[in-house]
Amino acid sequence: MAGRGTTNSMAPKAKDDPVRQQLIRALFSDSSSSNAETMLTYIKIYEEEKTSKEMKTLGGSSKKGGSADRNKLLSKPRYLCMTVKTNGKVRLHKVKKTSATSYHIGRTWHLDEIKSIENVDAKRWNVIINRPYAWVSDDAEVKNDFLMMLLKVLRSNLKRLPALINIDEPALANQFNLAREAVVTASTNRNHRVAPVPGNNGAAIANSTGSFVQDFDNRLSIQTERMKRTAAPSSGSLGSGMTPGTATIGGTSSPRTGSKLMEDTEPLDEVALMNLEELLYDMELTNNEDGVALETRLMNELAALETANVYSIIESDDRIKDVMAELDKGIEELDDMDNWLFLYRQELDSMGDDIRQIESQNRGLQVQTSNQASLLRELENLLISITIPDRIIETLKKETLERENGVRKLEDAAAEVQDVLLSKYDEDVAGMSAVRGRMELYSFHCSNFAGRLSDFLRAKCQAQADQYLNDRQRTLAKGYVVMFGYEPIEKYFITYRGLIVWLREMDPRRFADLQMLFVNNMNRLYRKEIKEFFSVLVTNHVAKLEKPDDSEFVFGSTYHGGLIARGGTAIRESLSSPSDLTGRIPWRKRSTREIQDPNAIGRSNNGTMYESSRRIDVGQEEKLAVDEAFSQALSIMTSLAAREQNYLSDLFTLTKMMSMRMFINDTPPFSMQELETVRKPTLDVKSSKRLAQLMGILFDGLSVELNNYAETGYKNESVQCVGMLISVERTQKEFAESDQAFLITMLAQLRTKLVGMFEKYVEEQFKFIEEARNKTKRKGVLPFMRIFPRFAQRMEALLEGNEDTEARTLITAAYDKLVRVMFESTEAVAKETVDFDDKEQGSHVVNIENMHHFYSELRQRKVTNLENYMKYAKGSYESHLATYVRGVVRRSLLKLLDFFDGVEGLVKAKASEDVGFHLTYNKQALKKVVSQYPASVVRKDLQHLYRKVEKHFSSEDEEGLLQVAWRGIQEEFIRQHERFSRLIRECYPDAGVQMEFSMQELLGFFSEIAKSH
Amino acid sequence: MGKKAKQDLPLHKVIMVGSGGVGKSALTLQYMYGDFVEEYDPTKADSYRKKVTLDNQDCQIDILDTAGQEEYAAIRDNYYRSGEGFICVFSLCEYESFMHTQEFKDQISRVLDDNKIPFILVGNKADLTQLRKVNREEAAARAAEWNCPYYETSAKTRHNVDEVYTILMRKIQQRKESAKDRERKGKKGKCLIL
Repeated sequence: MAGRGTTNSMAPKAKDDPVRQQLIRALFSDSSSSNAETMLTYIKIYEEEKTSKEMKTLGGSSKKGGSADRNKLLSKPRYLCMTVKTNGKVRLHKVKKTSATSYHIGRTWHLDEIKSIENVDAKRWNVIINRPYAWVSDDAEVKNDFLMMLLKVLRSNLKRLPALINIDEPALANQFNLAREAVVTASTNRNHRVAPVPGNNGAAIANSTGSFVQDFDNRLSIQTERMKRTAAPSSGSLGSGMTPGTATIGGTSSPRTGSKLMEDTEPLDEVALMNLEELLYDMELTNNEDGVALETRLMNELAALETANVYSIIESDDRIKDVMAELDKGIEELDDMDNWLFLYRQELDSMGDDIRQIESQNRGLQVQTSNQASLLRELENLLISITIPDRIIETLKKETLERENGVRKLEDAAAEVQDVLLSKYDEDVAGMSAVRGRMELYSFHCSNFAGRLSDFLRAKCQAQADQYLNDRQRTLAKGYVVMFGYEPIEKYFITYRGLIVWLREMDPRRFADLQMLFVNNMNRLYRKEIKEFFSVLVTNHVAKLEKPDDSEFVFGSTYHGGLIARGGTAIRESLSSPSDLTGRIPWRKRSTREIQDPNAIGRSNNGTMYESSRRIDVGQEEKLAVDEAFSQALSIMTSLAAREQNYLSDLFTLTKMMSMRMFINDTPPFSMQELETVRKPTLDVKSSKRLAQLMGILFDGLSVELNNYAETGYKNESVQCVGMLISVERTQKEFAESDQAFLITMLAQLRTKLVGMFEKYVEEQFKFIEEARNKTKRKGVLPFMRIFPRFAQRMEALLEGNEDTEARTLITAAYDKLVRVMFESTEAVAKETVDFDDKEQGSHVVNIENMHHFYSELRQRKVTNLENYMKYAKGSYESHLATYVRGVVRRSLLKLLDFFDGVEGLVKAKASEDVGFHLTYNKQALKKVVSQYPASVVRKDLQHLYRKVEKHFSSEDEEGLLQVAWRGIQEEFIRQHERFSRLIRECYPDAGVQMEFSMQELLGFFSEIAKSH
Repeated sequence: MGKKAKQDLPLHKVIMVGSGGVGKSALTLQYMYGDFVEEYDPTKADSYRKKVTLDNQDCQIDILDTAGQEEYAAIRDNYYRSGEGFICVFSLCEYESFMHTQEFKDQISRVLDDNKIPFILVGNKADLTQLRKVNREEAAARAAEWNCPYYETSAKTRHNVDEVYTILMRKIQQRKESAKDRERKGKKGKCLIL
């Protein structure tokens, strides 16, 4: 230790390092305050200002920044000072130079704030304290030294080191040791005197800790100085003109040199600090003891010295004994006082506890009081809310249900009770026996009232139904086919729908029972009346065919006339001419309103004809076609059922759940007129299912009656199923978008049935037509050909305005099927006809007449949907006619035709002059064939022919065709005559042969025939 | 049974005559089916039959629509014989067709040997006023000469179409009734010459 002295105090150091001196003077020279700090070392740094983004990535990717970048960023020269406080705390300060000699502390950090230290390269390093800092030192060594020292300090002060990145401690240490050795060598060589550490040197050292630090500091300074001297020449950075001597007094040398020194020597100071280890060794302290232990040991030694010192002073004075005795006495008294005070204090403590206890009790009492007050309020409220005035209970018990004002009073009372019963209480309140008792009492009253209400409504329901069942005025008769309305019943029960809403909420079982009761009673009425309605209708007002199969539309029937007026039945009239048909389309709905004229009903208005009554407008003796009557009945029944469903929905307020209170405050609208409208589906699935079920019970007779009617109608005249089918489809459309689930299902079933009937009907017709080949006459227009146009016209009339129905598709398919088999059958009949002298011609005649009839009848009836078949029929007619004409003429002029056909063949093959040389066609042959047809023979032949053709076309339906055919035959004769004459002229120019009958004669024969008929 | 039903209804046989293209078929189709056929398709001969109501009495009309283009008039003789009434048509837009009516009239008179046969002169295509070539006075004068009614029609607009057929049927009906009367008187009418 003695061999390693140092220069006295700080004087040389200040001279060594002006910057350090300035820093200490400016910032760390205040030793008076308790916060006095001593600077251990410092380092000059340049702080790199980076963008925030770069800052963030600084720890990880600072190496990426190029050197050019770095240079640009060297913007802020700062001093980083490491200080130690009197209490031993080491801190870092970042200091800024504000003028030549003044400094300002920018930031101060405790060591434990350092999060990480990263060695970037020789001069650069990053530290993350509160935020990342990127620092650059001037000198790599200085930096390394500072780092090394920092690490040492950190190690000795912190339990946990900050993160060290890229710091190679052994390497650092190695460097450090090298530097130290260099210093040692230098100091030895130069034979420097090193002064011992002064223990209590000057006012700057406030206590032992401070002195130690100061001592440490001083040593460091000396080391620095030594280092500098050694390093300067070797590094060469100081320049050749600078001697070690000038460096020693650099602080006072020229400013230029000084400033240079200040910067260059700084790192060396810090390196010197690291000689602490050495110092400790000198002081026989092992370097593995930490600073605190060292300090404690030093303090102990000091205290022992002081104690020994005091003791020796005391030993040397006699008065001390007296003083000591007095002091002992004083101490005893003080002990007594102390005991008293202890007792008092205990007393006071226990009193304090009591007071606190009383205070807390007091507070508890206050809370309890307020709780009880609010409980009282709650209970009062509860009591008020659950108490129902006796008059309300009395109302429920006794108020009459017979009168409307009674019902209103009951609604209010029921709402009151319901409000209470439906109020939500939390479990505790609901569990209170008082509340439970109340609730039970009210439930009892409710239940009683629900019973009273149900019984009342049941009785009324039955009574009303019975009354209407026995109402003689609601009896139907001929010309009086009515479904009566039930407005009085509807109006009567709708009064109770408020209470029914209440019942639904309070007693769902009774509510369900009530629904069933209502529909069951109404069903008794409807079943009877629907049955009677159909019975009267069918018995009196539906036209019946005398013979079931004698229909105009049954292809197998023997009926041909179509024009017989039948005893005023509407169906015959409607079919007698096409223009009449449209006037009586079955589904032209007659307004049900018009029937309310009492005179029209034919009996006095006795009050049973309500607004909602529906009547078929039919005279006493009037008959309706099956499908028309069906259409009217269906229209009446479906609208009635729809109304009834609407009523049920309103009566039982099925559209939404509501309490009595809600009902009173916001009564759902109800009007009798609105019942007639078709409603959109608004109910939930469950309610609509329920409603459909109720409707099914209510109208259980309807489906049966409609089905029976359809079957009877079909048996009577099967074609009527089409009209009925169309009616059903129309009605289906009417309700398609509605909530009438019951009707929708019923109509769908009915439709399926009718489609089946129609298919059966078509199948039957198909068979009739096929069988017709064997049965019918084989001449003239065939029965099915006669019937089909009427059938098609009827179908079209029914479909008019119903083009988009499925019936249209069905019927088009039926046409297709029927027309095909008709054409086939016609061909078959034509082929097998035996009614003609000539089978082939007869076959043509059958085809001509039938096809012409088919075409012209359909054309006349404007059945445009059969356009293709009409075209086919027309083409067939024309080709058969042409073939027939040619055939007839050929038969008359057979030899001539054969001869000239041969001639013409030769003409086409060779020159016409050569014909005469052909054996078969020479002049002699020509003469021979021509001579066979003298005028007299031709005349007779033509007359005979005319009679034959006349006989062929004797069908009364197609009389006109005789003239058409005969005209064709005449033309053919003329054409052939012209051809023969031409060929004679061309092929036998010199033969002098002529036809033996001239054109003039031929025309004469025609005129003659014409005149003779 | 069918025959009987049929015989209850009187049947009036009407024949359409006139040059080609004057609108005989168009008039017939308009009367029969209520539609107008624009395209021209020369007719050979066609037969139509329809139930109608004449003066509140059901009857049938049988129309024979004939060709106007025959080379030899003699062909017509036969069906002229079958006619009970004639509608002689010419086109108001074609003077030649008007001239030809004389030939038709003459032939009918010759074949039937009957000047009193129900006969109506009809000027068709009255809607084409711009193209008119035959004036009403001249046509009316000819009708007066023949002692028959004259009508101007349009098959296109159905103007006077129903009237022409109705009037002709009425004339046929009257003639049949008077013939019956004569029959009852035991005097042989002209129709029995055949």
